[in-house]
Amino acid sequence: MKNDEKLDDLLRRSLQAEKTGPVPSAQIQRETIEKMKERYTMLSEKTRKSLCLTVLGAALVVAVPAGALAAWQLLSPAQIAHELQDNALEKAFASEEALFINQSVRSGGYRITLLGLVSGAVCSEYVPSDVELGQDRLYAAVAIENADGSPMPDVSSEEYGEKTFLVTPLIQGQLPWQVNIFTMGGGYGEFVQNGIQYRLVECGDVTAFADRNVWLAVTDEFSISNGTFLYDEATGNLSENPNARGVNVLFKLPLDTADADKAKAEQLLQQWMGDDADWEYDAEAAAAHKEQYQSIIREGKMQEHKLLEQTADGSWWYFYGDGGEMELLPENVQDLANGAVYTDNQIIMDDTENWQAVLLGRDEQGHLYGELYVLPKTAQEKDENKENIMSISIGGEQSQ
Amino acid sequence: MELASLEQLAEQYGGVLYAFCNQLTGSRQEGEELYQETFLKAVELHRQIDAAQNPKGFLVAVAARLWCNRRRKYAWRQRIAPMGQWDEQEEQQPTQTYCNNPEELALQLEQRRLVRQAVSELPDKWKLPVYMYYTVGLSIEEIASLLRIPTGTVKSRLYKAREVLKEKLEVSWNEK
Repeated sequence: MKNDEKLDDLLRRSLQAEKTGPVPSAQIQRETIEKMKERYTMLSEKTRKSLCLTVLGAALVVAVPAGALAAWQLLSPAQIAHELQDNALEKAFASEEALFINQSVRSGGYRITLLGLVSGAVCSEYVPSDVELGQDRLYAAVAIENADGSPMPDVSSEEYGEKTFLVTPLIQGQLPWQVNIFTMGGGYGEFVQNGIQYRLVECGDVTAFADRNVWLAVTDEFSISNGTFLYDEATGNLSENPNARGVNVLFKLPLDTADADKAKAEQLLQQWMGDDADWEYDAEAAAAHKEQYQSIIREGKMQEHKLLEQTADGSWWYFYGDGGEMELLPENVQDLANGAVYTDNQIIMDDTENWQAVLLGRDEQGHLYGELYVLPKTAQEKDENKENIMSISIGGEQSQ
Repeated sequence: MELASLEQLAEQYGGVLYAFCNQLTGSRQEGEELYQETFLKAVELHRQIDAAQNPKGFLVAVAARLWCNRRRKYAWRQRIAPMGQWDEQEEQQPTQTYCNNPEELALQLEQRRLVRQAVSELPDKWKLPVYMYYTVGLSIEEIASLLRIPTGTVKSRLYKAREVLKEKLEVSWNEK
């Protein structure tokens, strides 16, 4: 039997559901059927109810001013926590400690509403494993709507997740790309109801910074870079970037200055900045990577030159070598001039014998192309790296 | 499709979908949640399900989409309340063909564990077609149609996945 067939056989024997898979227990199966029945009944009732609500809603639209209607139609933070099945947080949002903000801003084609906040010793039922009991956390509820009133994609739809949002607290005097939801040990839960996307953000508490300006920032960028929001070196204040193409919103949080605690703030910063060390941009490594990439292109042999193929979703694909593929999103190519190469994705691959690098660009005629370059490894390199098939992207994510 | 027919689907394809959900999520608890969620979503989409049009593939596609779409939410939940790993003891034993003596059985279980571990470490976009192809037994054309990608892309992802697995599992599959 050939090696490929042997592997195929091994995978089939190890993964095949009928032969080796676990089976749902009778209890799970019973529960599933019961829930299906409930959902089926609920759906039938919901269809009936929604007809009544539509009529009632139409009557109210006439009487209620548009601004009030906007806040009225959104779920409350407690309802959002309820939908996310977090009873403890639902109670926290229903308590007097919670702050109701209900402030809406239009940006990048969306209407973003900061609904409310609550903070204090872990309010949620879901306690992160790295958070000690008694540690203070911040919970913020946000609604995101299409500004034109069209529904946001449902979580089960194909379009959901195509547009991503980043919601994060930012603090005056702290560089936004150093202190943000990632470094604050944050997370979020999200769902879409009636065409409105609701997000419940959770992270380390910022109340100790109440003597500074603290914002809840919303952007559609994947991460916070130095251009996402404008940072004033002199004052440490942040402002929205007027040149931002997409969502770019800063909600100033109405914290009570009496809650400021400099010692605690310092301690938190040390904790967050400490965590940040792992994430810090390693300029030296990035420069070495760039140099290696360029040397493969410069000294290696071009193995193929192919035009990219466009798929129905608008993305461009370079299918290279024996099954390799690389995607360029429409936004990646829109600013790529004729004769230019795409520089944000300098990927290096290797096997036991060779280095490989892919070059993407647009030729003088406007066609998008991909090229695959191969550079044989030195004897020393062969010894050093026998295990990994690795690719690293500068300024992007690491992937295997 | 009416409720009774959906229940029938749960009986008929429950096993394969359950295995798919468990393998995809890598945890029994999360797999069970995804399994139940898939059938609840199927109830919502019952008008789109046609018994004659590959309902097994439809369910698998719903599960895959739910999993992809909710990964960030799951990531939060996972981080907050780590899920228990899939309990190998609860799996079916290897079929009689491969189970001649206890030593061989132990070896087979270990080999299977290694294979599953290696597959679970693949990037998501390779992992999904691997599970759809090997766990569920869908054809490349079916996978392409369900994931709405060209068949060439499915092939290249399976190829890439196999290449990585080949390296990772070299020792394991050379033994056979």
